[in-house]
Amino acid sequence: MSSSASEMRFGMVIDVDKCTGCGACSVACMSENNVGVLPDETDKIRSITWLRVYQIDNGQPYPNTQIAFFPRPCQHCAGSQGHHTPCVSVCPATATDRDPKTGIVSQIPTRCIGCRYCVAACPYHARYFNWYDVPWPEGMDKPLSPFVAPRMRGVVEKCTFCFHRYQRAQNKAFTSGEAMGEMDYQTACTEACPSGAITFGDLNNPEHKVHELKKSPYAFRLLERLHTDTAVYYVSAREWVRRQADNYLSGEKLAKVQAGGGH
Amino acid sequence: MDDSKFWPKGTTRCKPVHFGLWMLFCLALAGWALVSAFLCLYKGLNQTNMNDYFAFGVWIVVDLAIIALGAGAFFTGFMNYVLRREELKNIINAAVIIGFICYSGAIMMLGIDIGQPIRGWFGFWHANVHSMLTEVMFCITTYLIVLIVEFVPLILENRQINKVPDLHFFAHNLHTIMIVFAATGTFLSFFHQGSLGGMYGVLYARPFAARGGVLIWPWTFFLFILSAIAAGPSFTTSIVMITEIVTGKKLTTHKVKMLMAKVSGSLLLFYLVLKIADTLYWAFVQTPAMGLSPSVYYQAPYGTWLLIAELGIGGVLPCILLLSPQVRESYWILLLAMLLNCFGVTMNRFVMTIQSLAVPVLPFEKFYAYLPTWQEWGISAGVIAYGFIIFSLAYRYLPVFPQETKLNPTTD
Amino acid sequence: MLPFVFEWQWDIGHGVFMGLFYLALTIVSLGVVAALAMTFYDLYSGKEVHEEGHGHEDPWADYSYAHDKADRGEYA
Repeated sequence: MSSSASEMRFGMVIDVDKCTGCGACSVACMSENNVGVLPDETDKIRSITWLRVYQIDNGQPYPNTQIAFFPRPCQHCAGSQGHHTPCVSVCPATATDRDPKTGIVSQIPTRCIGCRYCVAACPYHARYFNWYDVPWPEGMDKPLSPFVAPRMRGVVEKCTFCFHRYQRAQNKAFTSGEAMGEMDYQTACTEACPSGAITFGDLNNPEHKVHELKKSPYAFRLLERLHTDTAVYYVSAREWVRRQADNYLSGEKLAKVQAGGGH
Repeated sequence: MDDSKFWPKGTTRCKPVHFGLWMLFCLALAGWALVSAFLCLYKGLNQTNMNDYFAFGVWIVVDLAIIALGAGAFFTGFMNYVLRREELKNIINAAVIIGFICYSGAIMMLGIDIGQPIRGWFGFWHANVHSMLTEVMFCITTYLIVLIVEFVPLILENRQINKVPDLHFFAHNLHTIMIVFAATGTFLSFFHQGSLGGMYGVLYARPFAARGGVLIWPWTFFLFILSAIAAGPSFTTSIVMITEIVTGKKLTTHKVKMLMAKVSGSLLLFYLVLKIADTLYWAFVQTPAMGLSPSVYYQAPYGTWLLIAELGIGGVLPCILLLSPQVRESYWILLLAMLLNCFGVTMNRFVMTIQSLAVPVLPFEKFYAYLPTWQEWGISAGVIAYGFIIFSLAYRYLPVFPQETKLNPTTD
Repeated sequence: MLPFVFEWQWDIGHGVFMGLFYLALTIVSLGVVAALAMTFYDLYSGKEVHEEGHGHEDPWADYSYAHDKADRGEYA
């Protein structure tokens, strides 16, 4: 189910070798999308981080230890080999959908019934359930962004590739009469990354940087063997990093792109 | 207080004070559930130990297990009304009541399990017809309606209620056309037992749960139907046997139980052959193709003991027992075999729910374990208490077992 | 669920799924309506209630027959 050339498919190319693990992308995301601070943020398997930064290492003892970071937004899967997006096809209430025009997987929190089936379906843990009412302390409601509705308890939320920014860019293009440019629509995490590790754009558009970057021989995606056909590419010249993007049997050779949607 | 005029004609029941004490115990359990339910609804699901890794917890396990065990209702109804096995009339009422308890209990539990219970109807209104869960919601609700229609005539046959002519005739007429409801129920139940299995099989990005299949149905769809109809009759019969032990009465002839056991055992054999084939293919072909070895799936505390418990102790063993005529003749070993069968299907639902979610898919993720909180146990216990209450009341006041008067002659 | 809800699509998936759902609901409702109609007929035709509902019309009346057959091993 890969998108045809005429359609847009927004996506990212994240250079793992440039990522310092500073977490600025995560913070920018939370601020941009009104993700609140929960009563107990030490409980990491319940806290909400639309863009989580995973730290990995090569498993070698000092002094050969190396570490790397995988910033992980929602992967905006298209699904391939007859499969739909893992989460979209399972939602009973049509509260999440994949827009074939943009390739963005949306989430409608006001329609979500909180069954969490999508959370179970996503292998990337990109979906978060609101286990708590977010306690917006006095004054904390002031910096809320007016473009993104805060979510209520009992619903699922996730990265939307800052879809409100896409809408804003469309509005701008409509009023100015000019086509939407690459820089008109950029996600908050992309803008916040101090080392320029994240590049965002239309993967299908040859004029966008991501179109070229994803063709790098070092580019890979997470869990390609599952045929989820994600829109987020990673790049690393280090083989041990690439190997940790997917599951391999011991002794199995690292294969380049086993699956996917022909990007 | 004498309630004997409400007892079915020609039967005796325990003293009201004993019954009252038993009800008090059940109500205490139900009270625990009510406190838990209040906390979960008022404070939110943070009262549970579920999290973004264990999106499903003990409630979904209990849900799936009781729905599988409740399959005795539709399958016994199917055999009785559609296949015309007349002798099953002697157990069909019990099967319907148990089915009703299981399904209504499951729906009540789901009402607390979803994060926004008030929006539960969105699943119907904005139905995504491609989701297995949508199919489950539609079929379970519709089938519960069928079960209510099947249960109503039995309630109306209470000795006093039945004296009202309108209700008497209504109950009688519902009975007359019961085949219509039984057949509709069979269709609905068949599909949602399957969809519950399909729910896991379609999770193609979760290697532990994912399965290939035919058309839109993964193999788990068929395996869940088979395991449910194999365990359902066992559950119905074992509840009847436990009622016999508790009340000290014979409620159905042993022949009826033996027939249920034979049906259960044969279906269990059929299921096990397919399930073992599926497991072998999954372990040795499908899993390595995803770059995983089965050892990744079985990590403490969810070790290979689960596989042995599910397929060995809860599968092969009861299958052998149920298929041996000598065992079926014996009361106690038959009961044990049937309970083991129920244990097996419960373990299957546990494994498919909990272990599926425990297994990390990203190589740099961790293997998590999960233990429910007292609130989660409370609600699970509440469903059992609810079952006790409904079944006890039904047994006391309704003519559930047509053979009871004959098998327990009284001087009344 | 209903044609005026905006996700409603007139495609095969919706047709089969909703078709079967409404068919099942229709059958069950018609069954209950039929039972009610038969009840009214019984009441107005002056049919009498047999004692405790255990008359010859009782659906379980033949249980002893089935039971005897079972005891003779005809179903074993």
